[in-house]
Amino acid sequence: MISFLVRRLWQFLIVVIGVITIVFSLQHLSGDPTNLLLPIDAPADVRTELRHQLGLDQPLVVQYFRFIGDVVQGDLGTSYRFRQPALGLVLERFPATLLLAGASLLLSLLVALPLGILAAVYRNSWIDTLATGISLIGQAAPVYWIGLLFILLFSVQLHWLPTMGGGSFAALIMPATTLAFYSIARIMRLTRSAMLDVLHQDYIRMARAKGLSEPVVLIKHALRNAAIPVVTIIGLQFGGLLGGAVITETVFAWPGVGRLAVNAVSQRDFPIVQAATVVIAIAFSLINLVVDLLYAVLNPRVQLE
Amino acid sequence: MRRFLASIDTKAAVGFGLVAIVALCAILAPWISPYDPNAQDLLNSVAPPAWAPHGAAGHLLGTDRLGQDVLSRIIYGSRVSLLAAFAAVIASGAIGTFLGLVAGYFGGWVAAFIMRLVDIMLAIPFILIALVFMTVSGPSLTNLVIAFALARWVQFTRIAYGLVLELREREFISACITSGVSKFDILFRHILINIAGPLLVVATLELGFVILIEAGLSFLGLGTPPEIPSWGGMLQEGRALINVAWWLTTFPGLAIMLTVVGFNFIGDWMRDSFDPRINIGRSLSDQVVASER
Repeated sequence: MISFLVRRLWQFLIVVIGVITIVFSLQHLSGDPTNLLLPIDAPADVRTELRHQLGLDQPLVVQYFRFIGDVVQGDLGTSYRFRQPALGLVLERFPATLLLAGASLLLSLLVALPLGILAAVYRNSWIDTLATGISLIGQAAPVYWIGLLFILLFSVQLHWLPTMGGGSFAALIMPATTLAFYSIARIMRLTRSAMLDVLHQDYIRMARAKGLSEPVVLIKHALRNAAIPVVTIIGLQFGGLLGGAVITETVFAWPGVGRLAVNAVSQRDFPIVQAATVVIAIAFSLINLVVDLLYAVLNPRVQLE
Repeated sequence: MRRFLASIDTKAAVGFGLVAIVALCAILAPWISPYDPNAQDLLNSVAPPAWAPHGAAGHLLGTDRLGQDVLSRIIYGSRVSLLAAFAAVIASGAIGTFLGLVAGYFGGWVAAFIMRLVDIMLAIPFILIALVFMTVSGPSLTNLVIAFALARWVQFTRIAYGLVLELREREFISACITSGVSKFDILFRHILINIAGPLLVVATLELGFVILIEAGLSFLGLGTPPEIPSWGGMLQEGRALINVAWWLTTFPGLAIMLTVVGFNFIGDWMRDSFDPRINIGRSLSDQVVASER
């Protein structure tokens, strides 16, 4: 277990450094990073001053290690629009994004797991057809469009829910449901196929032959074994939800990291975009790390691989 | 050919039908669209579809804020979607396949480096890479395609890498090596042909993904400029008028969804009908779209 832990932590570290490196290279892709760090109309002497201040007159390698040093110390630049440290601004909004993604995940699990199990048990019944239909829409319809349709129905037509904003439970319902659509589709499909695989195993036939009741067979024997692939995808889904939140937040004016980043793009406020990317990527990797460790506890075989 | 036709089931037929309609729209746009997509008719602005109450005669799907015909703009919008999708998938497919071939065949530190890069890219939600890239280079359709190429190659690399690893151990490759076939020929004439099928499946599913995300970025105002009709851009306008004009939101989204369904159905069918020896598993489409949205 220890060696698995060390190996996995090492991988995590490499991914984090890699993410920082990619952001660094993208920053230099435009040629002169001061274009990104200053407003377009900044005077030339300010530009030269900043270039010197940031060490942009230094060799690229020096700049790179300095950048890593800054990031490690939590310095991801200063937003020129808010004139505050970018990382602070992003972290301030991170709980809102986390709340949205968490609520979506919870909702996805509540819908997808029972529906996936029922679709497998009653294969080719109407419930299976319903499940297939939902997963089809969830995979092909743009999330933001589903969000807009929700607004049309529940806010414009029925006046049940507020169209935008954060803070209240009512304001959370639509964005979370919208965002959940996609993970419902994926988790349900996987649960269904994992259950179908398991239900054909000999030990299930054996359990039935022993005269165990159907609920016991399904829950105690089938579900436990079907859970293993499902647990992995839940971690992946959470990361996906953090990314998906970017557009959903914009549709519903939800005050999270995604909306901050999207607004920053149109104002070319690069430090914010950079900080948002680093924070979300690290959060995503951290979640994967935790899921992998949990997985290793659940299924000791993977430690050997 | 007969076997090919026989293997097409209802789902695949629907998929091919949908994609064919979209492709025809894109190709024949100037001839089949009822109006010029940019022709403004301010007297008839925000008019409901012809068949709805108070609908404007002659505008089957209504008009937008500038009185532009929604149907014509949807027909023309297919051009942006398909163009972006094919350009992005060809570029990322070429890069990704090449890196996957190299990593799988040469192994060692080359593979370790490339596959670690894949892990890193997968840790960043695609939409964020696109945002960073668009901030640096400015929003435009070309930059959007470059962003896709820079980020989505990983999907091809992981599949190609796994397939090459399996194939490398086969006897016909050992036979090639012993009979002195050059590495280049082994890679591109013997291995590539044998893994082309699964990669084509990935490409088809990626087409759907790119269409979804391109529209998403245009919706955020980061894709095509407003004067070029695009489905995502139309949704952005629709959002501003959502309180008064449901048709501006509903129809462009429907166009996106049906196109993506079309590509997904074709991809699923291809996956099921390709060489079963190379078992890429039913989870391929899951893997492809596993990353972020």
